Amino acid sequence: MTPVSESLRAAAGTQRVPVFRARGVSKVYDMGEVKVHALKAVDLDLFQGELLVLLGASGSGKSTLLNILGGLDVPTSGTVVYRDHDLSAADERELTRYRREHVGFVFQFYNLIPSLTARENVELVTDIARAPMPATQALDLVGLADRMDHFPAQLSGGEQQRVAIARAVAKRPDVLLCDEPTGALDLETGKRVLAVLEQVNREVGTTIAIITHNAAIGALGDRVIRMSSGVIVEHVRNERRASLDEIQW
Amino acid sequence: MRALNRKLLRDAWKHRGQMLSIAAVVSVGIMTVLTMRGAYESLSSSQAQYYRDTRFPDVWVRLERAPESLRGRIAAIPGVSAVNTRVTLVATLDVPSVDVPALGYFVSVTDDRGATLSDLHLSAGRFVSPRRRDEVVVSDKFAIANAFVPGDTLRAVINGRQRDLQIVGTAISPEYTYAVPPGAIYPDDQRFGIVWMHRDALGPAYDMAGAFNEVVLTLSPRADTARVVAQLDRLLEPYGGLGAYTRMDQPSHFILAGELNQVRSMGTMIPAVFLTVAAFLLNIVLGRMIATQRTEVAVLKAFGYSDLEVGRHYLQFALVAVLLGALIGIAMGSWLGQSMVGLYGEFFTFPTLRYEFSWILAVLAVGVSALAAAAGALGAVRRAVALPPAEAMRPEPPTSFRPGVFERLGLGRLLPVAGRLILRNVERTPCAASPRPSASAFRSRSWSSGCSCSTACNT
Repeated sequence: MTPVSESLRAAAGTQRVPVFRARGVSKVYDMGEVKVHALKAVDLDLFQGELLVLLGASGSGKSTLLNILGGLDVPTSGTVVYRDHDLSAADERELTRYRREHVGFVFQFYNLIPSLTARENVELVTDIARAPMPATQALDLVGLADRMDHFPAQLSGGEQQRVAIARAVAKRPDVLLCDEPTGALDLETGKRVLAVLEQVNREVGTTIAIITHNAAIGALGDRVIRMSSGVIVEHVRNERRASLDEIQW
Repeated sequence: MRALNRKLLRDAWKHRGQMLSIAAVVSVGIMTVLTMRGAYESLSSSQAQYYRDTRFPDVWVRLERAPESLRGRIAAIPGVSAVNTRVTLVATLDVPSVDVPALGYFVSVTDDRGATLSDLHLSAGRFVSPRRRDEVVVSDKFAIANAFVPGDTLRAVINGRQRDLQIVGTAISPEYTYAVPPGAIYPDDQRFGIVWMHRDALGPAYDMAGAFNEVVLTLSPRADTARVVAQLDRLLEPYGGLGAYTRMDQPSHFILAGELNQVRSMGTMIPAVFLTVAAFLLNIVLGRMIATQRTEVAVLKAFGYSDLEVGRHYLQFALVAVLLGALIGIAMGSWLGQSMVGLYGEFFTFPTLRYEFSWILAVLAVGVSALAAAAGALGAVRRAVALPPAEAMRPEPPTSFRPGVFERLGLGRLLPVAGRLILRNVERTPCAASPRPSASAFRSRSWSSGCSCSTACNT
């Protein structure tokens, strides 16, 4: 085990059982003439109900790591285990079922279906989930009860991202993976979106991993992991999670 | 309704122009099937029913003259089921409504209609009486063309003698479903008609009392046709036999069978062409749509939609087009089928001829259209399904370009940037560029997104 993973364990606390265990995870993209090493033997544990912030510059490998944790991609080597699911050995059908049953995604550019209203975008997920909350409840949770029949083009960026969060949490996922959820938003709107994520983590108990290159957001998490060039270079366990009023960027 | 189905309907509405174009092409395919194949089915079933009801012969033979006693020897040929001997002749008719003399093909008939091959189907009036030597029944179309009705008189020159004949009825016969004058290829109903006259009257009038100059016969189911024809020819050779022939050479049947074959072929070929075009269009349209919905595909997969569900979603676009085309095609095909059968009714005479809409044919046509559409859409759908979600989430990588032959020779610098752009596009995708190289520069944007050109080439 690398020194980083040891420090991670110490930072996370040894008494808790991780929901995710990633060991020696590497990802190499074969681009024909060149091979891109996006992840290099990364170790990571993620715990139940935790809010983890992944910091790093563009190209540091944080999105690749998130995609592998979310079952959108598979590692070139190493193992990723979610509870009793070995994601690194899973085939496409198992990964699809894993994503359907356990994971919610929030993307930087919202990725709402433009031809569906806010409510229908959420229903797109609740239609196939096992025990979802009603779409109206999910939208109410993010403060958009009065905007649910609007199409994405009729919503502001912040509202679209909140719809995306409602869509992700409506299926009551075990883990919510957010890739730059505030990346396309201004400060105030970004804070509203983060407030919703913090609320979901606190009230629903969903494990959340947030990718950002905004270091200020790290203060909101239980733990902060910093990545650079495909490796984890720093683990920090916050003594306490800061409130949104305390952070600025 | 599931959200994904709402997406389907709204996307289909958004692309309604393309969807309608494809639906129109599909509808023509389905319409042609229902029109052509429907007409074929109606015609061939009417023909089969007509032939069966009237005992349409299998073999014909004309001869100079033979005594009626020969009939028994003909019937004794192995494979022969029923024999009719008759007297036939061509005579000049004096038709008041025609300036030039008309021709009548006289055919003798007998009272024993239950045993008559090619029995008449009376349209008006009655059958000829054996006691009256001047009664005739004329063919329907000839009567209509010349406004003859039962009770009118028809003047004819039979065997050099002028006779006034009483028209007592009009009729149709399966042997003259398509009646053409001797030596002609098109019907001339005003100047050519079939005239049926009692054997007891026509025989003596043509010096054929107790004799005949034509034989028609039917064969038993397992008869060796060629052998019967050969034996018949041998038997009738001394009597001036002109050679027996089968249904395939019977003029009316020959024309009708040829027409039926043509309709059947057209009912297969034309839809095939249109459905191929529809499949091609679907491949192009869906390929472009999926290219623009790359991230939507990724999102669906990220949230747990399986490849099958995503593929089915996009395949349903093809099915929406087919469904729309089917509605138009079935309505149009049914209407045109009736018109077409009506048109055939003007050329071919059947006792009953009506277009019968076939649900089986409609389901088959729609099914084949759906398969063709699915085949066309499959390539585009497969590309969508094959895209790993993590990759689909990222913008499409830039298309791979390399210096072409022209540039490797160092001549690229002689061209302006726009010229090099055209050249590289042409060299990268010569297949799509070759028909219209001048347009390639203006399409470079869509090419570089890698959708239209590769789709066209692959297709």
